[in-house]
Amino acid sequence: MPLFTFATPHLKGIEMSQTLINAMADLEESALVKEVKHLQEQGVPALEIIQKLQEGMNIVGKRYEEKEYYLSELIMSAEIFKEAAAAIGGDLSAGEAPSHATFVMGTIYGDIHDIGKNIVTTVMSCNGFKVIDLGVDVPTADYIKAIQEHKPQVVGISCLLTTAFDGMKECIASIEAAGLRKDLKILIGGGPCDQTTADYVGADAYCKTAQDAVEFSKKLMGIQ
Amino acid sequence: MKSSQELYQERLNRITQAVTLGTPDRVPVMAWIDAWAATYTKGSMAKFSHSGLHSNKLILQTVKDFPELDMIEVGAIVPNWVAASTLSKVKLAGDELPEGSLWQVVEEENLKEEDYDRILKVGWKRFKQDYYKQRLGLGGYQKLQLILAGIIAGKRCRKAGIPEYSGVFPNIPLDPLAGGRGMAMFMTDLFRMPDKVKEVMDVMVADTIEETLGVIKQAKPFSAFLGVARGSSNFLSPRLWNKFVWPYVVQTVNAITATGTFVNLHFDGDWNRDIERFKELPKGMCVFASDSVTDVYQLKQHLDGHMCIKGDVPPALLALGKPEDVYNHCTRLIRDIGPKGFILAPGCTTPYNTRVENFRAMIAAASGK
Repeated sequence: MPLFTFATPHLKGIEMSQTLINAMADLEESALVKEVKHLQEQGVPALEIIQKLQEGMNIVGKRYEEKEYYLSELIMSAEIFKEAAAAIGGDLSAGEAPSHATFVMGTIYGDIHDIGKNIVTTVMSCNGFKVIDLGVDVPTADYIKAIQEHKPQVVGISCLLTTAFDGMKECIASIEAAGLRKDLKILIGGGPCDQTTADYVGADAYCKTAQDAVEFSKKLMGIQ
Repeated sequence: MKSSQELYQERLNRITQAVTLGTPDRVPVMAWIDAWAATYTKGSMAKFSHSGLHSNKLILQTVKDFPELDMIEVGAIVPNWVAASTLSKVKLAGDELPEGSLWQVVEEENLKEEDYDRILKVGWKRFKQDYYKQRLGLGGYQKLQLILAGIIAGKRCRKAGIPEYSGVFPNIPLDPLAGGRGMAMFMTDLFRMPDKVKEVMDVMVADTIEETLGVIKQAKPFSAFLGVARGSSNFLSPRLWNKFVWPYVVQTVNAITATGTFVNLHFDGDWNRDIERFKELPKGMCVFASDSVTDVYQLKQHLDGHMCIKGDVPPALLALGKPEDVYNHCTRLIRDIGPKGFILAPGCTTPYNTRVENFRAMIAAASGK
């Protein structure tokens, strides 16, 4: 009997956690908000709740990889995740959640387009990477500062304009000249980019899709 | 020597043959020349970006040096109105950007959630006029300038013997809404208030079709430019795509083609998942213009004998490649995708930093000269 009474709340906790993971994975916004509140009332620590949400996000990433989900679902999942994290109290999206590696990303200077960049940062964070988003029209000095500060394993540079190719080239050359390229891989992507562009700007790889960035980064980190 | 009018007709016939899936005397080659005209003529980008008539002047100066070009997408460009079609603001050289910069659309939330109710209340036509004026600073004077520039540019192009491909620019509701709301916000609307968004789109498409048919009646353009950038297959899951994208493409295309006007499906991004669906559109009346993201070989495989394909010389190749690479790429496209139902062209617009020798190589691959 004592075992049974001990097990009941524990099992209930597991069920609740599973409900939370499923709500996140299935993009059930109202169910998720309700469950987060419930767990808080039960005294479950915020970090534990975030970890369950992250588990749900991993399922979202997997479904995206398997083409069950598309960008629309990724964006919605990121929105729900942010909302839940705010309800718990604080931006826990990247800081405290466990991550595979750090990924710094920005749209190169001279280009203010941010959709492509946002797609990649969303997909990378869904796949367990700590993402540092530098924004758009990012000067070389900001990339260098972010690399020195966050020590990322991978940097992503995005553009939508062919006129930004020379900026990418200069930025990558400057990162190298600053001695920061040794343990760092640089990915490029964006509407007009292809392998010709990657060769021209001196990037390690060209990513046609956001998923390419994930696969390249996971492979680099030895993650299956 | 042929007169400019004879050249105009010859070029028009060649493109028409390609669009209607006939056999032209050679694969036609065309280009959307906008900002590149300023590069080529060494003109001021600030002036080019602010004046439709000045842009037309530089475009025609450019075209004159490439007599084998069969058609241009448009005779003039007015970036402010390009942005207006997506309910967004635009930064221009000479204003927010330094001279020599390409114009850029600003991604921000200009359209609020309550605007959906306003559209339902007053209709799309009325709503957008207020929106242009109040939120984008584009009033009646600017609209008049645009209309006049369009008419005058059209006349000048005809006089110069170069046909314009598109003369009316409808869009499906998704693009202006996604532009106005911002991509991320709009995507969440599709989950949080799908019925309202659908209702708004139904109002918008009816008004857009009515306006488009009015312009077609007056201007009799070769084709209507239907641009979709944010509704591509890799952006939306099938459930959303089938509700918020495809029905409006079909509805708009059917209304336009019923007038005998071709539709230029300028569909950016990756449409690979849904290529087969394009067979639902009228045969020999539409052109799939690919920006080299959708697989042109899959387009050929699925749409051969049903829809003309335009494109899709990659922008990076035009900007960075060598002329022999461009020539070889274009020759391969002509061999594999042509000779019927194919128009050789840059994917999307001609990049601002296209090398002149690469542009020549593209044209040479089609003309043999």
